[in-house]
Formats: sequence, C-alpha cells, structure tokens
Amino acid sequence: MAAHQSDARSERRGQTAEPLVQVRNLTFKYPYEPEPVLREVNLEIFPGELVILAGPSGSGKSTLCRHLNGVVPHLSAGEILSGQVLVKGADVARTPVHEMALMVGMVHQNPDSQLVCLEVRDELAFGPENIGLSHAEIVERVEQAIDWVGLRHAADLLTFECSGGQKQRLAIGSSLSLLPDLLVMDEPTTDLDPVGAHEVVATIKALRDELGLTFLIVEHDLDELLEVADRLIVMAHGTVLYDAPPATLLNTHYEQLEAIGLRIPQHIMVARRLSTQAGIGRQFSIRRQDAVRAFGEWAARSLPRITVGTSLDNGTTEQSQPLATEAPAVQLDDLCFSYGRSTWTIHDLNLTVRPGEFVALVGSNGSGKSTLAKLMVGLLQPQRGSVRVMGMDTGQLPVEEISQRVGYLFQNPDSQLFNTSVAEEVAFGMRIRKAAAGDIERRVSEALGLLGLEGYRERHPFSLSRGERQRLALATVLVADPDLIILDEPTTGQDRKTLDGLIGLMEDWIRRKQATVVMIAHDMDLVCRHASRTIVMAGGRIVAEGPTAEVFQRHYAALADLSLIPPPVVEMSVSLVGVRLPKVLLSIADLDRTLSAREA
Amino acid sequence: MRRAKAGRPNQPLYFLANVRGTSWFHRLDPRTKVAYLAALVMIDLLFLDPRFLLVVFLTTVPIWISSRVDLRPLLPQITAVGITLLSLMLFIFSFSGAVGTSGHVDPGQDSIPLGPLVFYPASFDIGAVQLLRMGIPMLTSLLVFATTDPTAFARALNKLKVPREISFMMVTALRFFPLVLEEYSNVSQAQRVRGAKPRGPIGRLRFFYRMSLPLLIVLLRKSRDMGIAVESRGFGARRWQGTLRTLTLTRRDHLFLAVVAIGALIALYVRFGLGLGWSWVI
Repeated sequence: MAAHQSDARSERRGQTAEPLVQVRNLTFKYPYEPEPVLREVNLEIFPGELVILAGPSGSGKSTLCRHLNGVVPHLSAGEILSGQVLVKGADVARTPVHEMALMVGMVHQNPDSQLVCLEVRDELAFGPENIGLSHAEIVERVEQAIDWVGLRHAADLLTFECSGGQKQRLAIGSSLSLLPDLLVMDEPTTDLDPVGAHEVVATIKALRDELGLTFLIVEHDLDELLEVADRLIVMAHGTVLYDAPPATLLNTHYEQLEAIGLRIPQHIMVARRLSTQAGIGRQFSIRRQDAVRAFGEWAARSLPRITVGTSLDNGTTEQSQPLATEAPAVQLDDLCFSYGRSTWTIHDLNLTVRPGEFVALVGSNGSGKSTLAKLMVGLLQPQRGSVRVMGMDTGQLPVEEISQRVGYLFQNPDSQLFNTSVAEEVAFGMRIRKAAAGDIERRVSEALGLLGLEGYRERHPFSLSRGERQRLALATVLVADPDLIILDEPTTGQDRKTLDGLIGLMEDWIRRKQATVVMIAHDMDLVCRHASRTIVMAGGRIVAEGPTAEVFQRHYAALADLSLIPPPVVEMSVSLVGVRLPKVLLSIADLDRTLSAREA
Repeated sequence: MRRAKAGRPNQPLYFLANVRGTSWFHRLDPRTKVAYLAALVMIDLLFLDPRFLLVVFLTTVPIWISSRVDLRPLLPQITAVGITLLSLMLFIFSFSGAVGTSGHVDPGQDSIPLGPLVFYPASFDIGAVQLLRMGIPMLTSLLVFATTDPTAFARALNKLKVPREISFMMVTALRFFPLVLEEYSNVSQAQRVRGAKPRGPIGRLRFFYRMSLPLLIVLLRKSRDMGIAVESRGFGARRWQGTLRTLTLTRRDHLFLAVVAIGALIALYVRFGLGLGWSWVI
C-alpha cells in the first residue's frame, strides 16, 4: 500500500506545494456503531488536484468528507478516537464550521435538500451574506458564480423551477460564491438523470480547467470523471486501501478493485480485455477515446469482413425472451394522462409487453417514465385510452386489487418500510389481504430466504444497512408472488455488488415464475446487459422501442441526442455492424464472446 | 372508467406562481405592504357597524383587481380562508345571538330554529361583523403574500428588526414544503401498492399512523441534510451586513403610504371625530 501512495505522490501535480488537506491517522466512531467507521485514515490532497474517493457503500467515504469541513465532529455526534484533519494548516476539530466554509465547499447528493432560497441569485448570495460581505461584493460574487456554473440563462428562475442538473450546478455555485480552496462533492450525480449528470460533470471539468479548483469527489459512476482525475482513493471498511493515479491503480490492481465492488467504467474493462486477451500493449489507457480507437484498430486487424451469408452469432443469451403465445402482461391503448396542465404528460401511448419480458423504460426526467409506471399499477388513472395489466383494467379496479398481481419497488426503500420488524414488514401485504396464518409464515420465510434476510427477522427495518433495506423492500414485493414487477430506478445509490444481486434476482424470478419485469433506469450499461426490450420515452411519447440491441443500433444518434449515452461497447461496435460484426455488442459479455470466438 | 379525472398540477409551490407579476402592487417594497396590512387591521378594529366594515372591504377590491393576480394558484388558500370564515360565521350565528349585542342574555328575542341550531336576529349582525373583521385582513394578507417574493419579505422583516434566524426559518420552511409533499406522496403510494387502503375513520388513522415513521425518518434526514448545507455555507458566522438586494422605498411606496395614512386618518376621524361606526345596526 505504501508503495502506491508514494507512486501517487511522485506523479502528483504541483508536488512541491504544501498539502491543502492532511488527514493523519484518523479514527472515528459514531455512538450508535460498535466499531469505528474510519480507522487510521491517512491522506493528503494538494492544491489543484481532482481526487476521486470510491468504495463500496458503508466504507466511510461520506463520513470522511464531512470531516473535511468540520460538519463532523462539530455538528454530528461521534468521537475522534485518534488523529486529526488539517485544512490549510487549520485543525478542523478546533475551527468553527463557518470558518471552514471559507476553505471547503460541500455539495451533497440531493440538490433539493441543500437549496434554501427561492430564487437562483438569492441562493448564490446566501453564503456571502452570511459572512458579512458588502452589497457590492455580494453582487460581484453572485454574478461570478453564475458564470462559473453556466447558469446565466437560468439566473432569473425560482430554484424549484430549475432542472435537476441546474439545481446541482446551483448548489456548486452557492459553495463557490464563498471562494473555497477545496470543493468536496458527495455523490453529486447520483440523484440526477443522464442529462443532469452530464451537465454536472461538464461543470466540474470546466471549473477545474478554468479555476484550477481542488476537488474531492465521492462517486459510484466513474465513467466520465476517472480519466480527468489525478488520483483515485479507494476505501473499504473504514480504511484507505489504495491511493494512486487512476491509470496506475487500474493497471496494477484491476482484479482487487473489481472484487471489492468498484463500478469500473466499461471502456476501461474493454481496454483491459484488449490488453490482456487480445494482446494490445502491456499497459492500457483509461481514456474512453483511446479505448474506442484501440477497439477499432483491433477489429480492423482481427475481425474478418462480413460477406453475404456469413453468420457470426455473438448472442445475448443472458437476456430474457418473451413468451409470445400468452396474453399480454401489459397492454396500453391510446393512453393519455395529464397532471392538469395544458400539455399531456403521457400522450397517445400504445404498447404491449409480453409475459417473460425484461423491459427497460429509459428517458430523461420529465419524459413520463414514472407516470407510466404509476398508471400500470393503478396509482394514476388514464384520462383517455386504457391500461390493462395481467388482464385487469386499471381504470376499473382499485390499487389494492391490482397490487395483488403487480409489485412496485420504489426508488427509495425507506418510503415503503413502516413496520416494526423485518418479518412483520414482509408479512404486511398478506395480512392486510387476510391470508391464512400458515400461508403467511411459509411465504415470509421463502421471501426472506430468497433475499438472504433470514437472520434479520426480528430486527427493526431501519436498523438495516441501505442495501439490506433495498432487499427487504424487494422481499415485500416478492412475497405477494407478483406476475409483473415494476422497478423504479433501482440503481440509485447502489454499489455494483448490490445492484447485480438485485437484478440477478429479477432475472431468476422471470425464469422461475414466467414473470415480467418493467424497470425504469438511467444506467444504460445496466439496460444493455439485462433488458430484453428497451422503450425510449421523450415528452410523454415512445420515441423508440424494440429489442435492446436493435434500439441501441438503429437509434444510436437519437439516444445520444436525448443524453442517453449508450455504453462504450455500443459506441465501439455500432459502426462495425454489417461490416465486421453481425450486430451491435451490448455488454462486456458480448465482447468476451467475440474475443473468444476470434481466439478459437 | 372509475376515476378518470385529471391529476393536480404537480408543481408543489404552485401558489407562488403570482410572485413574478409586474403590477404596481407587486413592485411595492415589502415594508410598504406590511405597513398597509397593519393600517388595515387597525381600521378594521375601529368599527362595529358592518356597513362601515363593508366600505373598508370595498377599498381592497381595486387593489386586488389592479394587481392582476391569477386566482387559480390561490384557489386552495382562498377556499381555506372561505371555509374558516363560514365556520366562524355559523358558530357565531348559532351561539352568540342569545347573548345579544349588549352582552346580556336577551330572552325576549325571537328565535329561528334550524335543525339542531337556533338562530337569533342579532346573531346575523354579530356574525357579519366578525366575518368582515377577520376576512379583510386574511384576504389582504393572501394578496400580500401572493405578490411578494418570500425572500424579499424576509429581508423586509430583517429591516424591521425581526431577527435573521426567524425570517430565515420562514423561508426555509417554505422551501421545505415541496419536499414534505413529495415524501408524503411517496410513502402514501408505497402503502397503497402493498394493499393498504384507508377505509373509515379507524382505517384512516391506521393508515396515517403507519405513514408517520417512514415520513418522519425521511424528513429528519432531509432536514439534517439541509441543516448541514446551511452551516456549510457560513450561516453560523452570523455576520449579516450587506444583502444582494437592497430594499429602497420608491416614489410609488411613498405615494401609497400617503394614501394609506390619509385613509387611516379619515377612519379615525369618522370613528372618534364623528362618533360613527361603533354601534351595532340593530
């Protein structure tokens, strides 16, 4: 480990400068946790660096971030058992939070929870007003911040009128208006749609290039940020496991990073496979462009041109296939719905989903995905047209009846847990429907066993970890043995292991029960890997739909226009379809099959 | 179709839609509006004769009209004010009449029974007075809040020596309102898709009881996040001096304040100089 840290220091920009942040042997414990959440953490951040802090959920990343601006220990219960944090030489534990605010800005995951004013300019002025600047200085800082985060066109909006991306950029701007030396961002894109996430990442890159600002960013989705980062720090179980430039770390510890559940960007997976399996160079680049170019060169050299009659079946066997003979699981006819405004939220929508399909609903925020999902379970009723789910007309039946055959997993598990024990939570739906006691017990045990929660029967739901709460929420859905399961953005805030476990369960459920899954998702990689069919929505209409490979192949440009950036393997392979590949590659598994086929 | 009505506009702070208006009343300094409200309440309390109070009410009508306020976003608030006033009027009609305007029980009055309620002629008069006394400031407050940016209003309160912590709390509560609504909707829907339905008063109580824990936990987390965000931006420094927007009284404000002052003087003269407006009609 020490070797990696010294590598990092030697390659660091501005290595002669004094560190901006020094964390020395920090061990910290929350009062309600038996073990310390941070254990002997050591790290330094130098001026101008962009540092990514990654690691599985519960590894202590957020707690470490909160130490940097003094929220911990000043505003949070807990005890520093050893060590200290210094920012510009000031001991954070002895410096008030408002003084730390001048050195360290903080941006959180949910933009709505951190905006306190009603107008954009007032929000940006909030910090400068608090620290006693004059009117002229405040105006100057506000206008400066508007330009830094590119909100000039939205400067006269009310904060709740802004899009998700604008709100998060506003949160960044409101920290920047205090002119901090370091900006700490705790999962700044997690709650955003692809458009918003892209806006925020572009803003981070621009701020770094133009202002030379120092960043510490906690992020699960590393696709766009990793290649511009100076360092990647990986934490697990409260300790810093790795601290090195991303390219160095990924080239030397790829398997270890994968094993702890780090979401390694797909283009890096491709670059590594080309490096190890196809023999292109010993070291691989972590830049997306380089990976795309390397793949193109490899394909031109290694894949034969397709001639008429050639069939290279690279298959997508992991995806579920519909049972075409059965009645539709979902049938939408001329569906229209509006929230009372002049425009339709859902407009003239026609759709048939067959049993056994794993359908992904994709689109930007406001495209109508969640509204459509709520129409399917009867939480909303159509104003025109009809929704038939498992043969039931949702306009004619109450939600309680529809929900006996349709399960709905909400984005935030905490919204759907309200009982006092895990077992009670799972049994709730069956009890309320007056199922027999023996039947309830059997089904609860089955569901808890399936989700690996048998040992938690008597625990309070809110005493579980986030991943366990998500599994419990899923158990409350599966216990009813639904024929159709709707997943509303299950990826939010999940690390790769938890996410793969959840989606794996869904695929298993489809196979065993011939059930249907409709998943709202922003993660295009997830969609490509698992969805048998993809429906793209924009402005309340379906703009593209079909088998996932077909949608990503035929509508590649349209998806990019909607900021639904297809995964790198799609980008790499789409131009080769019909020339060197019979169809577009959707996942790393597809790429592996292609590589194996060439080796064979 | 079982329930094919349109959903409500899903804009949580829809009632603030009028804040961006450009009428003369919108452009008044919030302190001027506060002074106007205070004067109106004072004039309101000067009179007991509903005819005089009706005149006071009528003076607010041109302001409503000229402020060009879109009433649709305010309908829930206007309805709430209306229900409050009607309940109050009904209560006063049925219970105060027997006591009479003199404050003593007047057994000689003719009673008008209506089901379980009994009305007296005097009670209508008392009810009308209380209705106008409460209705005028309530509706005018609604107009003031609908046409004033809450942040500017908070700044005006600071200028009027209200502590910053209190005015900030007011604005933050407003900002927090959409989050509460969103979570309420999520938790409620999550229960319904698991088969729970609020049936009858007991069922409703159970439904809301079950909602309380997740709602409380989610909102506590959000309020903690908001608190951290506020402190992370130097709120604890409490060194407020300059502000982004400086409040200045313009010629329009001075003119309106002069009109309000003249109105208040006229009301005082009518009440105390001429001795009118303090006696009940009957």
